[in-house]
Amino acid sequence: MFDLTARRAWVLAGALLVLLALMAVGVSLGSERLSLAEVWDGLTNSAHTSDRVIVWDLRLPRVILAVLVGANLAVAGALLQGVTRNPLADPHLLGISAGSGVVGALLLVRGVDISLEAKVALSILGGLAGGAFIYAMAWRGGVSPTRLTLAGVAVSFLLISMTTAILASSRLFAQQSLNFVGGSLFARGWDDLRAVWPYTVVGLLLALGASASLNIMALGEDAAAELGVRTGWVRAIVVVLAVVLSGAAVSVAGLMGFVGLIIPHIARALVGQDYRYVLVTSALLGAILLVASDTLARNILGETELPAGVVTAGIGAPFFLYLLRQVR
Amino acid sequence: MKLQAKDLGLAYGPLEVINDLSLDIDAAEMVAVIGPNGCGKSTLLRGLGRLLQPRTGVVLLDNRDIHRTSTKKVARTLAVLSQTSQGVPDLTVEELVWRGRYPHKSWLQGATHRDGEVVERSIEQCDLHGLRGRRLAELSGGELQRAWLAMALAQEPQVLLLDEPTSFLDYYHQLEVMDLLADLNGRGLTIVMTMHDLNQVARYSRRVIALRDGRIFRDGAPPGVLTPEVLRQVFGVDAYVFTDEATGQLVCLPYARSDGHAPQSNHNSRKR
Repeated sequence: MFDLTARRAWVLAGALLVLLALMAVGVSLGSERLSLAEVWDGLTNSAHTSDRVIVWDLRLPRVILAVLVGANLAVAGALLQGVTRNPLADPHLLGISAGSGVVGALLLVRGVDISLEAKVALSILGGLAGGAFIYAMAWRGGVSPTRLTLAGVAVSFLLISMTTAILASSRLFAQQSLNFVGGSLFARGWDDLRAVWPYTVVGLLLALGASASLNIMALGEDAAAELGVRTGWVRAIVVVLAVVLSGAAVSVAGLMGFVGLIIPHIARALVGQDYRYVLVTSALLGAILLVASDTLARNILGETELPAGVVTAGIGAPFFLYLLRQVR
Repeated sequence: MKLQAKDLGLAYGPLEVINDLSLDIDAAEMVAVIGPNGCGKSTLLRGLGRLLQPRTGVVLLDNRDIHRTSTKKVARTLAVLSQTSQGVPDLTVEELVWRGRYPHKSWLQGATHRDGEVVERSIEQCDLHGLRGRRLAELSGGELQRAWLAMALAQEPQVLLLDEPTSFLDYYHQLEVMDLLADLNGRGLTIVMTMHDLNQVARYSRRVIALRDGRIFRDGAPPGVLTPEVLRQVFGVDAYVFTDEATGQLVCLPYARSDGHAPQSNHNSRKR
C-alpha cells in the first residue's frame, strides 16, 4: 500500500476525472442518443438546433444539478456521522431532511405559486424546524450524540409518514409522488440549478471550515472537550450545515436516500480519517453516484423513468457491500 | 502553574458526588488521589479538568476561572487523560498524537515544523516509535494508554490530570509510564492522578489526597496518609504498612476486610 498523501491525491484526481466522464455520458444518453461530437456541438454551437436544445436546455442542467444534489447529500451525511459518531447517521435516517420533505410535499400538493428560490428557502426552513424539534426532543441539559440519533430516527419516521400522507391525500399523479418520495431529478432545469448552487457552495466551504473540529470530535466527547473543542456548539453548527445542504437537495430532488449514508464510508475507506479529505472526497463521490444513478434512471426503462433514488440504492448498496468485504 | 478548587460541588444530575471541596495544587506538584470505587475521584478529576461544570464553587487555573477562560486556551496549558478507549479505531497512533496539537492551531492553520517536533518528542517519550503506524484498533490496552498519553503530551501542558494512568498496563509499562511522569514532573509539569495501586502512590507521588464520600479525608505526604488507620477508614481494609528494607520504599499490604468499615459509595462508579 502506498503513502497516504499520494493515495489521497490519486483518489481526488481520479474521482474528478470519473465525474467529468460520467457527466459527458449523462449528457449524451437519453431518449435521443447523442454522440460525444454532437454533445460538444450542442454545447459550443449557439445555433438553435435540436441538439442544442437537448444538450443545453434539458440534459446539462440536470446533470449539473445531480452533481450538486449528490455532493450536498454526501457531505451532509459525512457531517452527521462526524458529530454523532454514528456510522449509520444520514440526513434521512436522522430526520434532518424530513422537515424539508414535509414542506416539499405541501408545496407539491398545493401547487403554490412562488419562485424556486423561495421554495428552496422554505424547504431549508422546514429542515431547520425539523432539526430544532429533534434537538428539543433530545435536549437534557445538553445533547448527547446517542440521544440526538434516537430522537432523529423517531422524528424522521414521524415526518416521513406525514409526507407520505400529504402526498397520498392529494390528487397528484402517482408518478410524481413516487418521484418525490423515492428521489428524482425529473424535469429539473437551469432555474432549479440557480436556486440551489449558492447553498452548495457556501455549505461545502463552511463544512470544510469545520473539518478540524470534526477530526477532534471523532475522538469522543471527553477527548474533544479536553482538547478545547466546544462540542455543543460545533454539534449545533454542523447539524445546521447538514440541514441546509440536505434541505436544498430535497427541494429539487425529493427524498433521495442512501447517498448520505454510504458515500462517507467509501470516502473514509479511500482517503483515511482526516475530515478535510473525507468531505471533499464525499462531495465528489456523491456527485458521481448521483450522476450515474440519474443517467441510468433516465435510460434503463426506455420510455418511463425510474426515481433516481431507486438506482442510488441499487448500485450503491452492492458496491458498498463489496467494499465491506475488501477493506479491512 | 497553580490549580485550585474553591468550595467545589460536582454532581451528575441530582446525584451529588463531590461536596464543598477546596484544594490548592501548586506548580510542579505530583499529587495522587486515592479512594474506594465511587468515592468521586474520577469525578473530581473531571471537574478540575473542566469536563464537568461545577454545581457550586469554582476551579481556578493560574488564578482564572477555568470555565470563564476560552476552553481552547485552557487546553494549551492543561491536559486531561481520562479516555483510553479506541476513539477512532482506524486512526493511527501518529494521527492520534497529532490531534494533541489542535489547541495550538488557529482556524484552518496548517501544521508547522514545530508541531512535527513536538509530536515526534511525544511519540519518543511514550516509547511508541515502533507503533506509530499502527491503527488504534490493533493496540493492546497498555499501548492504547501510552498512545493517549502521547497525545496529551503533544498538547505541551503545564498541568496534566490522569485518571488511573497505569490501569491495563503490565509491570514493565507501569514503571515506564510512572518513570516518565516522574521525569516530566521533575521538569516542572504539575501532575494530578487518580490511582489504585497504593505502592505506586507511595513511590511516585509526593502528596496524597484520600477521598471519602466526596470529601477530602486526608491530605499530605505519603507516610502521613498511607497509614493503617487511614486505609481502614477510607478503604475498609486492614493493612500492614512498612518500609521495605531492600528498596527503602513504603509498602502497603492490605490483608483483610475490616469489619464495620465497608467502603461507603455515594454513587455508582462512573467509568468512561
